[in-house]
Amino acid sequence: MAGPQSPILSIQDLKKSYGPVEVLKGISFDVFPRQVVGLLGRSGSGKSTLLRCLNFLEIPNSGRILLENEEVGVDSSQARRRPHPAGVLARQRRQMAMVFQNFNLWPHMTVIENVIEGPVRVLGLSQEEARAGAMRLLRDVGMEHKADQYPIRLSGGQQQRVAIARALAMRPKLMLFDEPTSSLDPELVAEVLRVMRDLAEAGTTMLVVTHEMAFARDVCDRVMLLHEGRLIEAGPPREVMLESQNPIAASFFAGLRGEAAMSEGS
Amino acid sequence: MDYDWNFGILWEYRGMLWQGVLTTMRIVGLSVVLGIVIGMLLTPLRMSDHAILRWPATAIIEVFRSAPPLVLVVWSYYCLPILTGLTLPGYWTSVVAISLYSGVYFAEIFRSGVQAVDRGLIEAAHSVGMSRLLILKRIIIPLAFLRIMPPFTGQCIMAIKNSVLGSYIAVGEILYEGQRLSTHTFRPLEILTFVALFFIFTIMPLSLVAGAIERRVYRRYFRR
Repeated sequence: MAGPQSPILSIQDLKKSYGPVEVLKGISFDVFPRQVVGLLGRSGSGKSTLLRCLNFLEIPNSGRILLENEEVGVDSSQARRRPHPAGVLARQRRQMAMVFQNFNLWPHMTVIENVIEGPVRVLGLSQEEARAGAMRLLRDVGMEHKADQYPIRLSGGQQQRVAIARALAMRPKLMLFDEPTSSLDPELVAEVLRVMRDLAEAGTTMLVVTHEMAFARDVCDRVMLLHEGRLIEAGPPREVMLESQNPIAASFFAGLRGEAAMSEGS
Repeated sequence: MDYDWNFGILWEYRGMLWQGVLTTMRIVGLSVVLGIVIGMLLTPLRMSDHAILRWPATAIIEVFRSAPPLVLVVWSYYCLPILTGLTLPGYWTSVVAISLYSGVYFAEIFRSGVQAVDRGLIEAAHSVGMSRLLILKRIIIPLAFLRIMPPFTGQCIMAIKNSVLGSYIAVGEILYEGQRLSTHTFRPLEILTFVALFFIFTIMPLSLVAGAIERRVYRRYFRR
């Protein structure tokens, strides 16, 4: 995918500390258009922090984040890092809309109101325009029949599909998924993964923090393994997940490798 | 008890009692509105990241919360004119004192509401590119308001009850007029019972309606 294309997102030596604890110890990677990149690792490895640094929900201590060659959050071309004006950061944030582990739908708004809030208030679309667009997106995620319900009436899987529609409504350049299925009951995981699979097939650029190994293996173009704040492996899923000789990768993917071996043996 | 009840007395002095009721309603209306305004001014200061703003607001809140409201009314009436040279009529003194007293409680209620808004909901708003002002207006304030409805209506009811404190400094609200009339007519039972019933029949429907609205809101937005 690399080649002549320039990356949508380019991360260069990103570092983040909380007090004396260094959570991200210099992360660099690129995401290219239409790529689906999986970010894997144990709890506490820094995956979510990394994702949240990208849209400045957490403020990284150093390093650069380039969204289509524009630096996100701060201007570090000078010696002193200068934060962008709030309006610039807000625009950059919506260009990489985020889907959260806990859905975070606004409980005082109906499903459709959740989806059109950004398009109407931020993009300045008319109600009718925004509603038409939102209904199309809700249809894509199979939620148009719940458009006028309040989020509390929906199952977790349904809420997450609405949250995906809400993020898509901002027409982002790429989508950030922060463990989108981790707080779902097991039987609800599949419906959310199916929507994400559809998005991937439609060519959406996605960066996905996940524990869903099968999804990473089958859908991602590339996976990265984060361990103690460093990217220790990155590449096509098969290489990283099944073939890597790195001992940490081998132990992290041991379960998956066992399954693969069994199915080959049978 | 062979007391000879004569509720006709209420009708006889209806003009005076009506004036008392009107004054009470004016004090309540003004002190609730002013109290909410004071609360809305104090809340952002109290929650400020800057100690220089937060500290004075915290001090005001703690001081006014620690005094009994009657002491505030009486102190303002007798001491403020000496200290400031500014003499307010008793009516305005009680409005201001009761407003300040409710205001600091409203400030604490508003703060608890804002703090109860889930961080994730604010992050979601950031991630669709909403500005801080927009997030305040569209997400934080509406959600905070839904969350604080029970303590908020409770505090409004307290403000109604506190309106009688003006009677101590001869403000002609319903309790003061009632007491005056009792001594004048030797009919305290009828008149003070009327005063008590006035409050009960004002407040009880209010709290019942508020309770019903709260339950509705809760069912609609927050409970599965």
